[in-house]
Amino acid sequence: MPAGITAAVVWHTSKILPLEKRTQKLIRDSSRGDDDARRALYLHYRKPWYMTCLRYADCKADADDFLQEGLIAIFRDLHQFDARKGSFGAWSNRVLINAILQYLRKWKRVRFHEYDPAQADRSTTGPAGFEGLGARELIRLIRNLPVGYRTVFNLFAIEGYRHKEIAEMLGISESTSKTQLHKARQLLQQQLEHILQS
Amino acid sequence: MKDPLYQFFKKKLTRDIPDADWNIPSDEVWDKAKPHFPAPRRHRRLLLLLPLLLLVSGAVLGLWIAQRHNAARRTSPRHPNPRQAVTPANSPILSHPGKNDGQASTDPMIPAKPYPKPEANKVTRAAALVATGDQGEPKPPLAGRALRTTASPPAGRNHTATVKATAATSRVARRPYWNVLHPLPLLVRHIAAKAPVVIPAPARPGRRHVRAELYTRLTGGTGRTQSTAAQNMRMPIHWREYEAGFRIPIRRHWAFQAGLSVLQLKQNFKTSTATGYDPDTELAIGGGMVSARLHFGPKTPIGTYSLDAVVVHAANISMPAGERIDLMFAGERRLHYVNVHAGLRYSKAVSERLHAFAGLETGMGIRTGAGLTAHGQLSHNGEPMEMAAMHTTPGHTAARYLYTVRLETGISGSLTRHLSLAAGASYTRSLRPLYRDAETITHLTAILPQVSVSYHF
Repeated sequence: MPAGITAAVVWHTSKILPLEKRTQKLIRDSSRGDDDARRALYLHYRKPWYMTCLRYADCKADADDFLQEGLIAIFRDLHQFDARKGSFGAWSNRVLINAILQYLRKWKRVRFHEYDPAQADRSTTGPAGFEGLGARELIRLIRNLPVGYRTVFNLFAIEGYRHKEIAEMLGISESTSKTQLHKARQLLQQQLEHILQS
Repeated sequence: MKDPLYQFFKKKLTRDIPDADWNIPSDEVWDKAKPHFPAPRRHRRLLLLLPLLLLVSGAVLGLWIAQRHNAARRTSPRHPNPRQAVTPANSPILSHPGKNDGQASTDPMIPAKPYPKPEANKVTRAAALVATGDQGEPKPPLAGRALRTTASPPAGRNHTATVKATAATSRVARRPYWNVLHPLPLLVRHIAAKAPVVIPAPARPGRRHVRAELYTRLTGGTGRTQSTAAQNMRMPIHWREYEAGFRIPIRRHWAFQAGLSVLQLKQNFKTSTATGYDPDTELAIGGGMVSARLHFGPKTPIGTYSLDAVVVHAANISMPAGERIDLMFAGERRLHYVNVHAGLRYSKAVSERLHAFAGLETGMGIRTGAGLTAHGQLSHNGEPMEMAAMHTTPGHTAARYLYTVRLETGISGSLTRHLSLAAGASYTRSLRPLYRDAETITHLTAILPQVSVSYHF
């Protein structure tokens, strides 16, 4: 189904309303089952949602599957969203990530390496010289990471979860989470340096 | 998390989202996910309405039973009720004609003569009360009342019987439980007055309007749909409604009425619009009602147009981004609903045969059909396109459930003893929108003439 004008019109004709009210109206209508409102909501948030999926996926097909599962979860749980507790973007991203993790647990064998303090690298090398890299290139770098590394890196570095929370979400120990992050960081640095040299 | 590397990644991946094609998911994602979305909550609303409907149905049934119960007990000198007629078989104190002149034999040794035929021996309650004299008290005909009645005495006697009944011997105990409070006002009045209460006179012929009745009603004319969008747009809509139902009196002037109706709505439309799609801004170029319902995208075949109540399948035409489609449509939209109405009606006599009435009803309808006949012209960037005939199939339609409120007023006149004819006007408005978009809400309103025929029991 191509990107429909219906939802685009639904979104843009409601521009007379402030952004928050517009979103709230679409959320309210979507939770009632209005297909046009759901579509409009999807069209508005599909980019950030899909970016999240791409960061966790091996390929675009996987990202599509993640987004599909996430959409089902978001619209299923939409009535639980409370605007007083936070923004819809944050809430939907959280639901999306939970759906992705559930999908990974179900269909992917995620292997996590144990933490080795001797391997700990305390360097805090910055991204100097890499400002020119775009989101697409960075996603490619992340996609090159093993699934375990990638998942923990995303949860910690991008979503901002703590190791304790990540451990609970993934069913691993905190030390394992730290190991994954450390390994991911090392690999990313290596890739960035390789890009800089080439 | 103050690691510059992490901050760099976070900034690039969450805040600076580029406008590009690679981060737009394919449309298959939406199509695959859509069937798994939860269904609209209409069914929940219907479930919530179910107890209310049951309650209304129960009330209607109760009122109907009460009416039948009261009608069975009612005794009128003009219309004696055979079930309440006292016959010698059930009246041991009634005199046998031709023997003892009012004194029944109590001696078992004396063989009783056979009674005459029951038809010849039936007497009314009034006659029975007169005949009893001081010999005994029959059961009081109404609860909690002192009763005074006078009737023509049998030959040779000129007698007035006064029968007093108390609440203790009333018929309250034999009434159904839902009707136990019915005699309370009369009892209070009796205690306060400490005097016999005279039974009201029988209903005048003209008052039979407040009795239970069946009615059929026709409402027709031109209403309108009113959209509350950027502009307040009104469009005419042809309205035909056939209704049948019943009325049950609940007070002297008030009656409860409920009915089932078939509603037909027809609306002609003619619209012309130009529209397109800009993938960068996601803006629909053009406007109007039609553009809000078009489905197509950049660089994809135009497979399906959706026009409010129909989907028009045109020939496959690829439309690069930014190009324009002109559409001209004309046609007729049809909707069919089956409605259930319930409400109250106030009726008052203005003469012996004429009654004025006013009523308030609410209704709930379920859409049973929707259709559209459309024809139009499609052109691409100003050039008319050669295309096959358009096929229309039901697509987006009006509300599945129609909730309405109706005010009515008019005058009715008795044609015969059982038939009456009424004419009046009604104002109907939908409580929920007939059509609903994200911003456009279309309501249904109509002020229409109506005629009805009623059969009174």
